This record gives sequence, structure tokens and C-alpha cells, in this order.
Amino acid sequence: MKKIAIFALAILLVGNVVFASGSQETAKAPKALKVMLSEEPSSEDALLNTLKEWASETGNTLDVMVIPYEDQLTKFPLMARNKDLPDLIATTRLARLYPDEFADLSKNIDISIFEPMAVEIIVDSYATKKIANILPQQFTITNVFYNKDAFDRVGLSAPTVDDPWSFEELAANAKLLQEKGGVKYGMAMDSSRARYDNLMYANGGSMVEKRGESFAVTINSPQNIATLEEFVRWNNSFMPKAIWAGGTTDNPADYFKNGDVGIYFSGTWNYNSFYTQIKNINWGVMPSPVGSAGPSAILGGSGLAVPVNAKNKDLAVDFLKWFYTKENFQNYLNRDKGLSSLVGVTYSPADKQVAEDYKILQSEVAKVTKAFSVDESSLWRNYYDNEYRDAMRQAVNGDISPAKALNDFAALLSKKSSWPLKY
Amino acid sequence: MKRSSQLSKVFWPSFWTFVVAAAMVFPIVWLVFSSFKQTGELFSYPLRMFPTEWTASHYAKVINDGFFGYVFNSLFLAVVGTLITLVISSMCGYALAIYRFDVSYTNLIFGIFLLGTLIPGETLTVPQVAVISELGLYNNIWGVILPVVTTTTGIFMFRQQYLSIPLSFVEAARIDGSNEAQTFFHVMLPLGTSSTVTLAIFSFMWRWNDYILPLLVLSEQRKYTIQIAIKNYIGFNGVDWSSILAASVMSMVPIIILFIILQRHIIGGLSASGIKG
Amino acid sequence: MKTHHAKRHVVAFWLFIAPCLILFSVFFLLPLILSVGFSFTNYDGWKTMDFIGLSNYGELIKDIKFYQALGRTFGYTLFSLPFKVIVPLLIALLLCSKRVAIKSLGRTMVYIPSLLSSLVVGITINWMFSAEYGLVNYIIQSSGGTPLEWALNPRLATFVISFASNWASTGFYMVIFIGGINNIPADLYEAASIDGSSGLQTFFHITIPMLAPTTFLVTLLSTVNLLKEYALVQGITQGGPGLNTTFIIQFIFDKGFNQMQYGYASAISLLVMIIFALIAYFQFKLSNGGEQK
Repeated sequence: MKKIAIFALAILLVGNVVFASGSQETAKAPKALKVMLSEEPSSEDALLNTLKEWASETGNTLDVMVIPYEDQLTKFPLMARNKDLPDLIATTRLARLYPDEFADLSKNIDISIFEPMAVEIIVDSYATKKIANILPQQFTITNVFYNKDAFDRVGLSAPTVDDPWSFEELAANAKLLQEKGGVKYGMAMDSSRARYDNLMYANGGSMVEKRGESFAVTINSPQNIATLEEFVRWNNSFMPKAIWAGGTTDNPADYFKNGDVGIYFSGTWNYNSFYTQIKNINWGVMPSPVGSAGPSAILGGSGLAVPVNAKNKDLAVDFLKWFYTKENFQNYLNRDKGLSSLVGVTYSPADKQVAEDYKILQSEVAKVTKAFSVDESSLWRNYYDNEYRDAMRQAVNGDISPAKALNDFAALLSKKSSWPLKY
Repeated sequence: MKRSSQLSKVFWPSFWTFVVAAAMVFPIVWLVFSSFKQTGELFSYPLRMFPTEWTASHYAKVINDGFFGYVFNSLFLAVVGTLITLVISSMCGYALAIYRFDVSYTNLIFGIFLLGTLIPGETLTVPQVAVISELGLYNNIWGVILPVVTTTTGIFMFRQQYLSIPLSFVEAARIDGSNEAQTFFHVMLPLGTSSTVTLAIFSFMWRWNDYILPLLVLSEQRKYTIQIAIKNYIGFNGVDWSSILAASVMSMVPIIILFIILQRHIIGGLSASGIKG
Repeated sequence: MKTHHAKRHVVAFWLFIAPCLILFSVFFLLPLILSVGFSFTNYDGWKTMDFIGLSNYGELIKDIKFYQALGRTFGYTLFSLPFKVIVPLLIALLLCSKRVAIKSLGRTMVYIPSLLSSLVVGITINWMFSAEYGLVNYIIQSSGGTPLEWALNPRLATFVISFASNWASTGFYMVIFIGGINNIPADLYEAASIDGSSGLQTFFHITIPMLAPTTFLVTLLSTVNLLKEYALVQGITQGGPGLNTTFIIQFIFDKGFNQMQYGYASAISLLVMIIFALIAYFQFKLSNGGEQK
């Protein structure tokens, strides 16, 4: 085999001399920051524009590369093994899955400048060891958008922060909107567990519970099964069922933008794109509804991480130091129109409507539950994210009962994690 | 001589041909028109074939995102990959056919190559990329070209072609004093033309449409190919449909043009082994 | 003298096949061997790789989801196969008819979908069959019908993938059939027409039997390609609704890449490969290898 490999190598070398044009341009300009994103950024992309501003201010250049989100898990280990990593990565999960590959940034940047909540969600829960191998960039929270035109048609007014809807009111109003509000679907929800799980937490359920230093699996508790049963009924009655049953690559954000949805459960990251893109309907944000145990919201977000083996590690750190100054972060936040992860920096919209919406979005932050924090700290997702999605899909599609879906998934999670089952 | 002057005899079959052909290209035509619609119109009822307001802005955006660079990379990959495929497949197919009486194990070797079509290639991606990295071909266009240039289809096509050629041709050349390589080049290569064109278009098409291997092997945006560029518009939180449609349409154009230029030879190539030989 | 020649021919043979054989060995057989090795480990695609003997295989034969995915794959293949073979055959016959005036244009148009990448095919088909903004549902609705739930009904979802797969391969198989039809000696038809056989009789007694080797080739190729269907599924249904279109390759990908069980995924791949090889072998035997004449 070795001989064959050497022979092949010889052929390659000859080939490289003949067709040199495609490959020998690896030499880099001395100060180019290589940044990895998960999708082709739009022209309004807040991070990219901030990076550009940094580049023009400091005279450095940018080398942006995109690796599609769903292919990152395949691609990243290869890049790491080939010591070919970008200098800066904007990511939601890579630092959590490959903690050792990222540099501890707490040496360069004082972690206390960040909102404690953002640190807890983006920084702490990602690293298994208590190091800061990622810093908060976009701090997001789940929230609810609504179609004002549809609400007006049925004479419904949106709930207020002090008086949110219960799940029963939500269901009744969604039904009403679908029947008389001129929308195709009363309500829609992103096909992401972080949307559904809010219902679970609000009804007092959780994925796991703490047992000393370890955990016990509680995902198949009676109240969780009841929540899922209710959710399946909602899907059959006034939601675009295909989104949660699978079978489509559609994104419900498109339905909402198009005016086909009355109430849309998504997250703050959509605010900016809705603000710039939606022209043909009036829309707003409303506080999330309350379940039997209270409200729930899920925080999340992406962070910036610097690989240990990055070529221009120092340049990336330079950027981060620049980025997290109050002035520059403020500029970034004004572009992003999202929540702030930096203490003392807030987004204060000039537009009156945006300012009002922003108040509602911020009120969601207080709704994050303890159960969610415990679930996150268990890192259960590292085991069986996909299996959970599949269990939900089958239940919503009616292939298996909600009880079976959750029982089977609980058994699987327990086996893989060796946490005991509670139910 | 049999051609009837009656119009109806020609009309109905031609009519059905037209219906079938139109049905086959219709989804593409629809896609092309959609790519000129305003983003808002893409999802609004009533659906219309033609845009109410034509716009080329999506194309401008995609081009602005560096699409021509990706086109160049894909072209390089497809052209060089195809050239190598043609040379090595014709050599291999030739050897498997012409030396079948000299070498007793040609069928065994052919069988090993056939194994290549049975295995779901995608499932071997991970070890394959490991090998590519070990050879130092990571982030190198050759790491995308070399692993895929051996195609069983190509070897098969050339083998069939050369099987149909009488061995006396070869003997005649040898008696004239050609060595084996000269025999191959001077006598055999011209005979393989129709297979060559057919395999060329297939190979070009495969390389042009490759996705997973370029994605895994190339790690600089400026080395990306068009298929990766299209996929990059599918984000985690949303899909940039307008850009995807424009990029898809632009990715089709070169390959369709190439096909139209070469299409006569393709049908010929696949039928050549029999009566034409 | 003779042995000298023979030896020279053997050397020439090896030199001629060397480039293909070397590249094939390095980039295909070697990964295959590595994959066999992985299947005996708990490799996670990252840093863990311990030898765990046959336990991946032990787990696999007990994995109900594996059998379900395999079953769906077979169901899909059996459903789609007749269309994959018959539709291109009929179109090829039509396009070889002497009575068709626009042959070359017709062939080109039928072939064009075969030129597209799976990614683009998926996008195009979504644009047609999307339950919300798809053209097909729009037409059904405009003509007073109830829109079909393409994404929710398991049968319809499978149909859409099958349709996409067919659409994208018809041109390719048509070309192979046209090659086969052109290879049928013209004197056979002349003899038949002298014997006074009707068009239909000629079709069943000459065209169909003479096309047997071509039909075999198309059947074999489409079977293998249907069993391997992956990219289209990913682009159109993502395996849903529920798990109703999660076929075996996607199952392997989910295990390997998304859940980082490369060892287990390798074990599944190998088993699946053996099953595919057996299917191809039986098809080969049943049809007598599709031997030419």
C-alpha cells in the first residue's frame, strides 16, 4: 500500500507542476482575518458589517468563508485535524462539541463585562470545563410575533406584558384567527425543540432533573406527555402540521412574512430581517403565553470563538478586544437590533414602534426557567438531538402516540447517558 | 421511402413528443421565470408564470457574491477531471478488452471495479477524506479531482467499445512494428471517439454537480465550487430563495449549452458498439 | 518467442490499467478497508477510537429502526422501479419512431433534467410540489379541487421523491434505450413486415426481446440508484413526515455525522453494501447477466 501511495504521490506532484494554476495560491496577505460563518451573509448582516468596519479602521483585510450550518459537523473535525482552522468562528454549537479546539479567551478579555445571563447561556453551558472558549455575539431569546392585520380583522388586541395569554386563550384565539382572520394558519412555530420546549417548561416539565452531581431523565413525565398531546392537537387544528411532522424543507418564517400566519413563535434573531423585509402586512411582537406553571422563554445565541490552532489567533483576539468596547459593540447592536450581552450597553431604538417592541422582547429574558438551565447544563443534546427531533416528528405526524414517543426517547437517552429514568 | 405524405401520420407522434418534451422542461422554465420575480412575489397568490415586474437584482447579488469565481473553479474541476477520466478510462477499458486472451484475470479485475458502483459512495466519505488529507491534498483542487476520476461507467463503456473491435486490427498494427503504446494511440484511440464524447459529457456533468467532496476537501471560500455556493444561501434561520433560484439557474446554463453542442454524439456513443462498428 | 510476446502483453496490460487501478485503490479500496476497521471500534469521528469487537454489529441486528429504514428503502425501490424502466423505454420508442419530426429537439429537452445536480433538482421539485406555494397545489386549487398534502401524507411524500428521481433520470435511461433500439438490426424488422406481422406483434416479438440486455442494464442501474437515494430526500422531505421517507443512506448519515457514531455508521454501511451487492448479484443471475445475444 505504501508503494502505491508513494507512486500516487509522484503522479500528483507531476500533475501539480503541469496544472499549477489551481492550487499554488495559498500564500496569505500578512493581516487577513479568516472568519467562518454558517450562511452567506445578507447585506444587512450585523456581524459582517461590523467586521468590515474593523477592517477599514485597522487596515486589515477579511477573508470570509461560509460553511453551511448542517454540514459543519462533517467539516469541522476535518479542518481541525488538518490544522486548517479559520481565525474566528461565529457558531452556536462547535465550541460546545469540540471544547478543546478553542482557545480560552478569558485571559484576553474580562468576562465580567458581559451580562451574567449571556455568560451562563452562551459561555458556561458550552464549555464542559469552566473556561471561556467562546464569547457572546448575538444574544437571542424566543419570542412571539403576530400579524396585526389578522388581529384587527377579528377585533383581537394583543396581550400585554402584565396580562399575557394562557395556553387556553392562545389556542382559542389561534383558532379564531384561522377561521375569521384571513390567515391560512392561526399559529406557527419553528421546527426547533427550543420552541416546543417552552411549552414543556411553562407546564412545569423538564428534560432531566438534577440528582447530586448527575441527572435523572424526566422527559417522559405525565405532564410532558400531556403537553405533547396538546401540541399534537394544536398541529392538527390550527398549525401548519408539515413543519413539525417533517416532510418539507419550508421555513414558517416565510409563511409569516407572507401574511399567512396569525401568531408566530420564533426568536429575536428574526426581528431585524422582518423589519427590513416585511412590506405588505402590519406585524408586532407580543409577550409569550403562560402555562400552568408560569411563563417560559429560552435564551440562546451564537458566540465568537478562536481556534487554538488558528494561524492569526492574535489578530482575532485584537478584533474581539475592539469589538467588545462599548462604542463598537453599540454600533453592532444598532445593526443587530437584538438583546445586549454587554453590561451597560443597550439598544435604544429611534423608531417609537421598535422601542416598544424592544421592551416586550426584553421582558422575555426574565421568563427563563430554572428547569431550562438544568437541562442545558446536562448537555443532553450532545447525545441525542436528532433522536428527539425524530420522536417529535413521529408523534406530530400521528405515527406513534405522544406517550410512546417520549417513553422511547427517554429510554434511549437514559441508555446513552447512563442517567436513571424517573418515570 | 416509407415516409407517408399524410400529415396525420406524422402529426400525432410529433405532437406527443412535443407534449412529453415540454412537460420535462416545464419545471425548469418555471424556475427560470421565478428567478426574475421580486422576492415578495415568489410566495404570493395567484401564482403567475411571468413576473409581474421583472427584476435581475437577484442575479446581480449572486454575481456580486463572487459567483463567477465559483464558476471558474467548477469549470477547472470539471474540465481537468474529465480529461483525466477520458485518458485513464480509455486505457483501462482498452486493456481489459484487448488483452482478455493474454491475461486470464481480466474479468476479476473488471469485477473489482464493478464493486465501485454498488457501494453507496457517500458512506465512504469520511475515510476517503482521511486518505486525501494524508496525501497532503486537503484544501487542494487535486484532492477533489483525483478521487473521482476513476469511473466504472467509463471503464465499462470503453471496454464494450473495444470488445466490438476485431483483434485482427490490433495484430495488423503489431505486425507493422508498433509497440503496445503506439498500437493504442495510433490504431485504437480514433475508434473510440463516440464513447469519448459520451463519457466526456457524463463526466463533466458529474464533476460540475459534485457537492460533498468539494465541500469537505476545500476550505477557502475562493476555491469553492458552484454547488457549495448555492447551498450557502440555505441558512439555519431562513432561506434566501431569490438568490438560490438565481444561482441555480446560473449553474444550469453552462452544462445545458455544452450538452446541446455535443448532444448528437451522445446518442451515437451509446449505440456505437453494435451496428456502426 | 511466443512467451516473450505474452509476457510483454501482460506488462502492457498492467501499465494500461495502472492509473485507474492505483487511483481506485487509493481513493476507494483503501477507504473501504478503513471503514471495515472503523466498524469494529467506537470511533466518534474525533478522538475516541477503541476496539470494541463485534458489538456494533450486535447492536445493529437488534436495531428496529435499521430494519424500518431498510424496509422503507425496499418499498420505495419496488414502487419506483417500474416507472424508472418503463417511462424512459416508452419515450425512447417514441423518439426513435420514424414518424416523429422533432426528434433531436425532443431528445435534448427530455435529457435536460438529467443534467442538473441533486441540489437543483430538489429546489425545482419543491417549487412544484410545495404544499403551501407550490404550482401543483395552486393548479388543483384554482380548478376547484382540494390541495393535496404532499408533505403530510407518507404516500404522497414518497411519490414526490420518486417523481423527482424519475424526472431527473428519465433522460439518461432514455439515451441508453435509444442506443439499444438503434442496435436492433433493421433486417429483423424487414423480415417481420414481409411476414405480415402487425406493429404491436413486431413490438412484442422483436423490439422487447432484442432490448432485453439494455433493459437489464437499466434495471440494474436504477435499482442500485434507488437503493442509494439520499440527496433528493435531503432536499425535498428531509426524511419526513415522521420518518416515512428516511431511507437507509440517510439513516447512516444521521448516525455517523449527526450523532457522531462513525463506528456504528461504518458497520451499517458495510452490511448495507453486502445487501446491495447480493441484490445486484441476484438480478444478474436472474437475467442471465444480460449477455449480449
